[in-house]
Amino acid sequence: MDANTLKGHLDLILLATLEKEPLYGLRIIQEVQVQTEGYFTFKEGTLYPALHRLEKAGWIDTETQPSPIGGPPRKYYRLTESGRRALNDKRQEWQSFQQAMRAFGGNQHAKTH
Amino acid sequence: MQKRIEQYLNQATRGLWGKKRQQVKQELYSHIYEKMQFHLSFGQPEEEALKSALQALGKPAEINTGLLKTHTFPALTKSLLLAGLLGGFLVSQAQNQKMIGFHQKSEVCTTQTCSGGPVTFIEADALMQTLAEQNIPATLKVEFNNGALLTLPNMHSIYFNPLNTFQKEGKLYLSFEELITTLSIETDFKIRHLKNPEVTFNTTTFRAGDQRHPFDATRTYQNLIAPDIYNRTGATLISGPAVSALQIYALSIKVPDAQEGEVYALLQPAPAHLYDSSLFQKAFTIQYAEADQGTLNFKSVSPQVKFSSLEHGSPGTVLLKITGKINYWKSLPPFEGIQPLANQIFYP
Repeated sequence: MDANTLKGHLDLILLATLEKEPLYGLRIIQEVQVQTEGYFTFKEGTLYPALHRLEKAGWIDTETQPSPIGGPPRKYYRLTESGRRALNDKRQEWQSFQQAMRAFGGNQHAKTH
Repeated sequence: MQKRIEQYLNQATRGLWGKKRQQVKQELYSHIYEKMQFHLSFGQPEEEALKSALQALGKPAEINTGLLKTHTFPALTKSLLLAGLLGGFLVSQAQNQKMIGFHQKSEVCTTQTCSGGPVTFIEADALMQTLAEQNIPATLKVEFNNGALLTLPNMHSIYFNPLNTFQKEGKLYLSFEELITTLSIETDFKIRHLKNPEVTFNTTTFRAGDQRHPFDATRTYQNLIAPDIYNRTGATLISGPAVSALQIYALSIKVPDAQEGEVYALLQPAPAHLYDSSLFQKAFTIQYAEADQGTLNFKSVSPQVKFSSLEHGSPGTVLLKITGKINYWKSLPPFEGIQPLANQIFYP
């Protein structure tokens, strides 16, 4: 998947990844890759500016905790209430977009009907 | 190994400031560390594990661009770059008087104070030529957005993000302060003199400015010490017209061991109305002086001074000798605290 397409949906992906539990950077990346079966490949470093942007927007907050494997502490990101609302908005946006694209063959299922 | 990581973190977080920079560095370091542990657990040698970890993380310059977009304030930077040029001055190189063009720009002061001194940019082509003439095989790679990567032998490359460069009449200029800060982290580094500073890194020496083209290095020194002071104390450094108006009491300090040209800084607690207390826990007024035959001449904001240290919580005047040598990894600051004895303090 090319970088621009990813960029457009990165907020949704990150917010959704944090929906269940707070995670730190490296785990977020692993989670995204597992959930999408490796469909999203990106340089791991690009994730941090995106997370910081979401933090600035107030959609996630952070907590630093010692790492159980030793070494430097981990910074955990957690979805805030406004982050949860933003996630719902983005999901709806995405669904409307999908719906609209059906007319142009954007959905195999739609074609057969 | 640690040095390679340090270089990477410095490049990735260039342009960030104070605590924020330390926090981002720590976060990225944690990422690298854990990724390395992962590779090591599969039996990869340490060198390889680091290489894989950094490769997956991506180019530091790319991370830097992303971070700057999130953490800096474009409007302020723009006003800074639009400020008037003081003139096309020159940098002379110590041995054979080679000249490098430079520009010093005045900062637009939005409050009563400025963060100190004009901003300096040096001409990239002339810098490269000077390095070549000293048989230093440096290379400069300029990106489409005017970011530039300067690679020097036996040390890491210096990345100038687009905010630290500018183009004028087809020539690219690089931030002098950024160059100095990076050199001081990586090399055997010395800086002397407040006017027309002489900079030595490894075996290369150059002097910025001469009598005809004076070079004000206030900001160079400020940039060297301010982040560290902020990290240690939460204080910002302020200077400018409103501060100068308070500095009215003559104060001389004897520093018998001082080398010629050594620069010292006098920090004094700043009155609350001179800084934004929502941004900073506290502030120091700052003043620089060069050792002149073992004496420093300052103007104090109070008629009598009580010396304290940065580490010491109580308010007081702090005297710092600026060494310029930064070691981020061991948290060694680019200055040493000096405690003058009572018989070394004079009120002329």
